[in-house]
Amino acid sequence: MKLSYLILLLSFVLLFSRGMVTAQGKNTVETPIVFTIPAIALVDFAGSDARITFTSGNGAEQIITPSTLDKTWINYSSIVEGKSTNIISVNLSSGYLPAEVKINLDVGQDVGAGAGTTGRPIKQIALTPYPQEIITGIGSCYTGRGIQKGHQLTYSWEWMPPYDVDHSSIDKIEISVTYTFATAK
Amino acid sequence: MMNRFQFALLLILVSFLFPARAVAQSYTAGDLITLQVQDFSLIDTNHAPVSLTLSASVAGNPVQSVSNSNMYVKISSIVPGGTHRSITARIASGTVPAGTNLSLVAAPSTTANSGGSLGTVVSTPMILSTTDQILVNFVASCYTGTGYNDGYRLTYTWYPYLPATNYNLIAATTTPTTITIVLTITAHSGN
Repeated sequence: MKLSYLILLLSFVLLFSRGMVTAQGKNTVETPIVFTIPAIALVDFAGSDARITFTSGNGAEQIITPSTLDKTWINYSSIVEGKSTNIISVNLSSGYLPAEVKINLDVGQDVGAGAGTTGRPIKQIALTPYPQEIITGIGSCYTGRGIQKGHQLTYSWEWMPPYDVDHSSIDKIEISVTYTFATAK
Repeated sequence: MMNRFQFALLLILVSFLFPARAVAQSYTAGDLITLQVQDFSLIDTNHAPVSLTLSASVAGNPVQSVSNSNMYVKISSIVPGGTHRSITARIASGTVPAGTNLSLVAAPSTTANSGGSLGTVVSTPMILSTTDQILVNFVASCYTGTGYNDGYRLTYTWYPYLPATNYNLIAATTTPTTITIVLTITAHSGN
């Protein structure tokens, strides 16, 4: 086969081959997204006020029971870091309790209207000016908002012996109770 | 038989039938011009910073979902006739914080500075993962414009995922977590 014939054939083949010029196939752009989750500790009450007011009637003691008082509910929202937990403590913050009176606080279990790791309540404590833990082990959770959500708080009044209501001169007592949300050490 | 004079007259008369015209000759010349349109694609965003923060403002409520719609994605594209491209998104690096999901949806392209066949956006927000998912489909030859607010508007939404079972997994961050999203404009479908 002559060289010139070969060259001719080769150029013929090259001319008619599918010479597709495709520019870029894929093309991409990267973008960063930043996420922040702050630690959250919010507590609130639903139901009656957290202030307990006792006014003496006709010499009869007034016991604050779930049936005579609007149920008080504690709601909270919490986001914790890693394995740490939050705790709710309670203390008498103003007013004073005379020696003949003791106020007990009962905290119920979380009713389950929320989600996450809600806390475990302590059964019953007597209110003092010093903070006492009432709900522990709170992780990242929320209880839901309003009455019938979160934990139910029940206050009860107790006369300390040897005092009793007939011989007491207590007219009116007003105290404030403060709940504190803090991270467990 | 006509005499010479009559013949000459006849010739003159006949010559009037064929007037002589002086016409210049015209030439044409041409050249082959090759026009080639190459298919190509270019993609970029306006690089608007996207920083999301979960927060609850009311005791008892869960953290609320948060959205950001500051980012626009711009493209230019030429495709061979009858073919089309897609714009896809995926997480390239990093992980979305536990207990939460990040979703993304694109709005149809702005029309102020755009033209061509800009495709159809997928209307359901997608939950971003490490696999490419389609944001906009059937993109053919088009352009969106290059302005800061030109193009397909992207909405990122960050929210607690399945809170009934997973809310306890949400953890506060000591330093913000960063992930990288990659947006791709794919090769045309004729390949």
